[in-house]
Amino acid sequence: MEKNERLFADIVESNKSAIYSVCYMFAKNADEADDLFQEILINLWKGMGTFREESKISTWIWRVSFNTCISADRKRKRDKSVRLSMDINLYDTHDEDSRQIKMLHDRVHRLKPFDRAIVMLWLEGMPYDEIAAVVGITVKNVSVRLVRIKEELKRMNNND
Amino acid sequence: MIMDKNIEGFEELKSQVEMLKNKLSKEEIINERLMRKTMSTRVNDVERYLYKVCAMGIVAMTLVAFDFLVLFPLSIWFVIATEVLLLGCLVFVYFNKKLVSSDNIMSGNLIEERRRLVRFKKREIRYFFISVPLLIGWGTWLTLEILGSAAEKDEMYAFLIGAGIGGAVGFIVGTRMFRKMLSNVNDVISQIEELTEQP
Repeated sequence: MEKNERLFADIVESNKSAIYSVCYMFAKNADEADDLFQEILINLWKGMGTFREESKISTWIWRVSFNTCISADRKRKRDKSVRLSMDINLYDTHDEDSRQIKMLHDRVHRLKPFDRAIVMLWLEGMPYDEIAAVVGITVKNVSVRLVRIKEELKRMNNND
Repeated sequence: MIMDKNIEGFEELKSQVEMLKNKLSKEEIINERLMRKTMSTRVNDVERYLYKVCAMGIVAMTLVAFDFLVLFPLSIWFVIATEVLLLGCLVFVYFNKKLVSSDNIMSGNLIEERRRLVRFKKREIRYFFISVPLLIGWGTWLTLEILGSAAEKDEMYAFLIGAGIGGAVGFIVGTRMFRKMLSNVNDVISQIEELTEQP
């Protein structure tokens, strides 16, 4: 049990940026992002036992993060007893970097939840086959969806 | 592996993603329970080290009595002095162990636990610097006892070489275990200081 907890803590520490960036893109405010973060970590912990190492750990983490966010129930109860957060409010635009990040959030957040997952992975520089493995569709489907997403983002850019 | 290198028009988004990643990479996950669990595991390693030292001490006391009274008889004063030294070690470990508790790290006052760990560490270091000269003195006495014994020359040298190699290996292994234990204690002390400074 101790070895598993250490391993989990190491995995979370190494991937916290990826996990929290997904939460940020899917949430409307800091509290919601924290809720999603909490939820994802719980799901990762539960899934550790069944993780078969058929895919990379990063692929698995992205998959759990996106699945959790896409299907998240915004009316769930908050468990304050074991609260996890990153102690950062990315929704607060107090400097130029924060404003840029908020612009990113505003654009990506306007996409459909599933498309947010695809575009985030594409912006991470992930190849199509890995994106397909994370979101559970074919490579061709990824390619088709990305074309549509890019058009939508360009439209947003022109309208803003 | 198909990669889409066509990010033309999306450079701004890409750079914003990099900014987001940079910001997040500097942040820490805050969870006191998770940190306490990690610290408690380290303190548990320290407790296991102390139990191992105790176990070795008890085994050593038995072996000393058997070896130096039956197998390779040496003077009774040497045996008594050795047993007293080993008993002293066990008593020290017993009392020092009271300062270390992985259960208290999980549920106790961390500032108080930090104080106890600092006291534990100081005592262990002091004990190390006292025991090394005592060990050298004991080793010298052992050598003189063996050379002055009634055993055959071959037997004597075999014993001395064996004791020498065993002693050197034991010292190296023991020192490494001691340093790892101290490293664990230092890590826990630093983590408590970090945790208790947070608002």
